[in-house]
Amino acid sequence: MSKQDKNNLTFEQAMSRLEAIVAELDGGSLPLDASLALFSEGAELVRFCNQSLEKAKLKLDELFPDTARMDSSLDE
Amino acid sequence: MLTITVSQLNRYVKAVLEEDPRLREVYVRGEIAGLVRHRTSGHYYFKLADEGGSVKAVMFSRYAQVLEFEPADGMAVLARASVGVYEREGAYQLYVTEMLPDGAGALAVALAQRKERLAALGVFDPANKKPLPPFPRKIGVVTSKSGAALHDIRTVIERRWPLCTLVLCSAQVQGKDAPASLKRALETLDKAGCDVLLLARGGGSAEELWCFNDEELVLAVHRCRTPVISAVGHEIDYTLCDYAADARAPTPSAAAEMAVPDRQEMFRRVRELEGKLQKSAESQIALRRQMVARLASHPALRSPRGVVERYKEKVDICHKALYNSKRIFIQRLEHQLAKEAGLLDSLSPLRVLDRGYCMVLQKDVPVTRASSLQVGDEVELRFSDGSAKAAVTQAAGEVSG
Repeated sequence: MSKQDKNNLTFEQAMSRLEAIVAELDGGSLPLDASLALFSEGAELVRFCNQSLEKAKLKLDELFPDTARMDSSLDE
Repeated sequence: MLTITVSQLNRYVKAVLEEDPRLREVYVRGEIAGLVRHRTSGHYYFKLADEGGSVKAVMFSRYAQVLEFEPADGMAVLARASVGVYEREGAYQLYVTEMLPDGAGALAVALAQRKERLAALGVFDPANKKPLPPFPRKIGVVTSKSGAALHDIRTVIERRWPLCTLVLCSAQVQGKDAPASLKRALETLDKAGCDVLLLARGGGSAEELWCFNDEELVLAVHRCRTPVISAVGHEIDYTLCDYAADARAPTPSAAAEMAVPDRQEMFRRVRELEGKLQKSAESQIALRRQMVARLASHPALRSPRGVVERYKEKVDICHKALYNSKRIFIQRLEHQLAKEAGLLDSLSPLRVLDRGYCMVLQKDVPVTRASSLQVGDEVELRFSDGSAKAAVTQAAGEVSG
């Protein structure tokens, strides 16, 4: 996994890749070095997922309706 | 005595009635009876009745076609009308311009009829409902900027799934401008690349929530390309937006819960996958260890001497084979040699001696030329059966040819 990939990785992608790796390792028909490569990629993904979950901070944004910018001040 | 015609009378009464300003705009409450809709013109003809009496009424099609409900016999209504006279029959009647279902459940009737109309357009069709994304990254919220709904949604998402961006597009959530304002906000967010939209409003009276039954707004919800979760009012409140949305939540908080996964559950899931990863790596190693153990217990590795013995046998066999083939080779050579010797023998000069020739040797060297001999030289004459000594008595050149 290159650095670029890792930066663009979403939590969803990381999870689905992790699930795929676990399924592939469960199959058990891979040569040892391929298994070990998958294992280390999986461990990397686990770290990424845990970090994403731990460090996430909700971002807030606001958009204004196309035509009526002043509406929000008249609320309720 | 003054006499007038029927027409004159009717015209006079009509003029009297129409002059009275109180009869130009009246609100009349009553039940519809004998309703007929003219097939071609679309005008409604009926009577408004109560226990004490009835009055004829007409509603021309240009008013009838904007009715929010379908009038029917027996329905209690409130009609806005002017009073006039139909001269041909000498009958006074109401010219109705607006009509609303009257009394308890009137709004419910209108709502039910609107719902039926929208349902016929497929607006509530379950087949059109879009699935909610499992891990939304951008969540659009249409609600009031100052309402409790926004606070509730934000609190829930902050706790459950802070891995996303919450985009607010605020709108008026009650009053007559609310439907258009909500619709604009919804359409704005639908174009903003959100994964899911929340249309939310806190609790309120049925009248306050009424704007969420607006036909244009409901159609806008239906048209959204982004999945919409509707959460208007409390558990018991249902609006047409709830039916048109892809999912309905009983409250804004519940809508937020519905929109995002739970962080704690994801932690568990990641841990579970990590455990599986670990276990499968361990079992891979255990499998290899077993293979090594199986190979180690193989007789070849357990008693290497046996292998050496077996190879020694093989070497012996090879050795013997080699030896045999060497012997055969030598025999073949000997045989060939004997054959060649026989041939050689047949060509031997000794055989010539048998036929009466004799070989002259000087000091064991054959003499081939007469000129090599001098008088007095001793030579050996070899015959086939032996040799004799002789001396040269005359040298070469002395012999006359």
